[in-house]
Amino acid sequence: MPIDMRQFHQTFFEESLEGLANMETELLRLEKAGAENGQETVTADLEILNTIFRAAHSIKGGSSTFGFEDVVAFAHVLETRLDAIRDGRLRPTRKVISLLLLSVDCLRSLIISARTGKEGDNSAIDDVRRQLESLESEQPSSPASTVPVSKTPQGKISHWQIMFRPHLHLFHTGNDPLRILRELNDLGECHVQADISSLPGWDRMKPEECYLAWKIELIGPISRETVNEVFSWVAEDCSLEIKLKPMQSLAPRSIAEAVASMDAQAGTLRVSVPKVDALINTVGELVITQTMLSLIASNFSFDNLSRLFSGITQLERNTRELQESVMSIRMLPLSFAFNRLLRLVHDMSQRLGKKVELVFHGEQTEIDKTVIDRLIDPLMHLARNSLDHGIELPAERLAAGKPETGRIELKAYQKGGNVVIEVRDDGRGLSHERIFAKAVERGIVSSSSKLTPEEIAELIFLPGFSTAESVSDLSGRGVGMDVVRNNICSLGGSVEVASQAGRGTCFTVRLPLTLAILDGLSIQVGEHTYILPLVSIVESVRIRPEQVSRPAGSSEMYGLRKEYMPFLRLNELFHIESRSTDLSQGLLVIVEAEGKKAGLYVDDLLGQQQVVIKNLATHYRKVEAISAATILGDGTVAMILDVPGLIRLAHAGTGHATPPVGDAPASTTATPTLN
Amino acid sequence: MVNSMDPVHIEQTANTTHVALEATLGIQDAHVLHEKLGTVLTAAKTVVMDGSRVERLDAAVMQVLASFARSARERGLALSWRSPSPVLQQAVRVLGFESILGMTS
Repeated sequence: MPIDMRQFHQTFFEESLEGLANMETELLRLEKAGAENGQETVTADLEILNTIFRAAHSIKGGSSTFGFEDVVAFAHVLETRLDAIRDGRLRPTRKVISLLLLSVDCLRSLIISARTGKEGDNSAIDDVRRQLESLESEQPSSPASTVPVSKTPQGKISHWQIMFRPHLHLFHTGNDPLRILRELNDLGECHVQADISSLPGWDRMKPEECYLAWKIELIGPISRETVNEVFSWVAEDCSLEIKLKPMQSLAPRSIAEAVASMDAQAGTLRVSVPKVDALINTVGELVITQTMLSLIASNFSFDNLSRLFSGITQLERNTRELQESVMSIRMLPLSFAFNRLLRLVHDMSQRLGKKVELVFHGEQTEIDKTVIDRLIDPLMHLARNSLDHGIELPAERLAAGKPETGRIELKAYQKGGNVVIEVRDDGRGLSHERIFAKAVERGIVSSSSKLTPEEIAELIFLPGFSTAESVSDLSGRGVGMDVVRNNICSLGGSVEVASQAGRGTCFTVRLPLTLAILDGLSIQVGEHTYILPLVSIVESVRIRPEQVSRPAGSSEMYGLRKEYMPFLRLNELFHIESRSTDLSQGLLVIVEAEGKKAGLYVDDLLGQQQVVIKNLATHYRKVEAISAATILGDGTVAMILDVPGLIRLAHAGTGHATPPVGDAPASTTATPTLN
Repeated sequence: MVNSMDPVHIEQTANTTHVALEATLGIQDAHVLHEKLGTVLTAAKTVVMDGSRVERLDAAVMQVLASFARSARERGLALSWRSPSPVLQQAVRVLGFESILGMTS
């Protein structure tokens, strides 16, 4: 039976993309090493080169097995060049590394094309391949001449089409077409097609006459004069046609963007073997415990009671461990997300003419895969923002007494059930005046508002806010910080900004470790238990009935420390009979989402607990104001409340717009009070 | 016309004609090369070209080799190359003669 190779494709794609990511990281390391030496030509670390080479090699091997010919062809050219670097035949100048990075983009695009069946930008890929092929000849092998060549800024790449048809008597002039073609070959990438159609049959040919002709494609940073010069000796003795073929400019971003748009979220998860081993171990122990318990149950007597209890304790431990191991399978180190920034910062700093060093701390911190996938975009935006708006140009930095090279630091660490990621730069910091002026201009705040610097900084997260003086193609892509905040909030996280003028800006992102488990507060409404996500709770207070008001034509409002917010009775919302009609017997839980608050009236707070999220839509149907369900310790099902949904509901009910930011209370503690 | 050194050495074994190219070949050798290879075309069935010694050659010589290879193919001879020297290989590549000479590396 023939083997269906398609079953292996997915693994191949994933491994290849992973290999490419590694390759990209290593190439950037290589370049960084060169930059630190202050040299144009990088002294290559053999280990780095080997890693890069291996990645290209295994992609070539795999794609050849599965018949992805485009990938094979490209990987082959790349591998050949990498091999030349490894052997020292080709020197890894910055230009070469930049080209290799572009090649990574191309390969990625080709692999994604193979996976999705969608065509990538083939002309851009062909251009990169041609440049790769011409690499070797651009670099003469003698070291003496290499140095000036590598330091000369490379001109524009031209693509020449040459028709060279020597006259019959060319050999008599003492000229040798072989010499001419060798010279062309030394100029750049050369594709030669010989035309022997004029060559007569063996018996009729005169060996001293030239019947040959060539069609030559020459690609490289070559001027017309240079090409003419090669033919200067034979200009009278041949028919010669030199044409410039229009060549599309390289569009690295277009490849990268095409990749981004085509790269659908992978539906599989690659797990390290130790994690699977740990899981199997735990299951093994669970089986032992279960056997022990069945044994006790089958010959039960009260003498065995203590053994039964210890068995149950063991079962609890096994279950907890099993839960931990299963959860850890979904965990990936943040370096997956961080490494994506290396390339972004590399490309962007070059384009902006800024010098930036990207530093990672704690990139081994693990976080749920779903979180990582959805974190990449916000992180990229934050880094882009820091580079574009934060880090100054080298001259400006020197003038401000700072080191010429800016620094963007990404720091990740675990804190409680959260992972904290800080994106910190040492740039100019937020300009509070400009932000405030812009917010006034946009009608977000009134010019008379008195805002603290922190409140002003918060304004950047509001929709439609952008202070870039010129909308650059980097940051100003219509995606603002509001999208970053929304994305992070949708992950159950939060983002804050702190800034110091002239010293830099720090964005702090807090994320839950996993999306499968939620830190919740169980609340009692009538006979039912509901779960509120802890992250959306601001505080909980005893209700003062006199603070509940009902403005005409509106739903109930609650006034808390001069702030009015919609007052939502959960028992009414869910049509449950409350335990008491006396408001003062209940509690008010203040929740916040998307910058809006609401007060939820509940009967009681039961306690804080971690719950496993069960999708409600797959088991039942989507219900308004409920995001998911969970199963409680006693086996009952509890609904997890959808706080943003509840708040939308509450605000829709009141017709109440968002209170102006300036009126927000200066301090609201985020610690829920439990009783 | 005879040069001080023949551009090729031709040796006949049982079924195969071995043609060894000299180290230095140029336009001055093209005529003799053409003549000598002409005898091979008419006599041989299987030809093994030995280009291992080639150190210098030009387009005129390459043209004779190209014509020879084409004629050999037309006449149904089996033509193969044995250890072409780097110089020869480079010339083949630079002139775009790989397929004409049946020499694909």
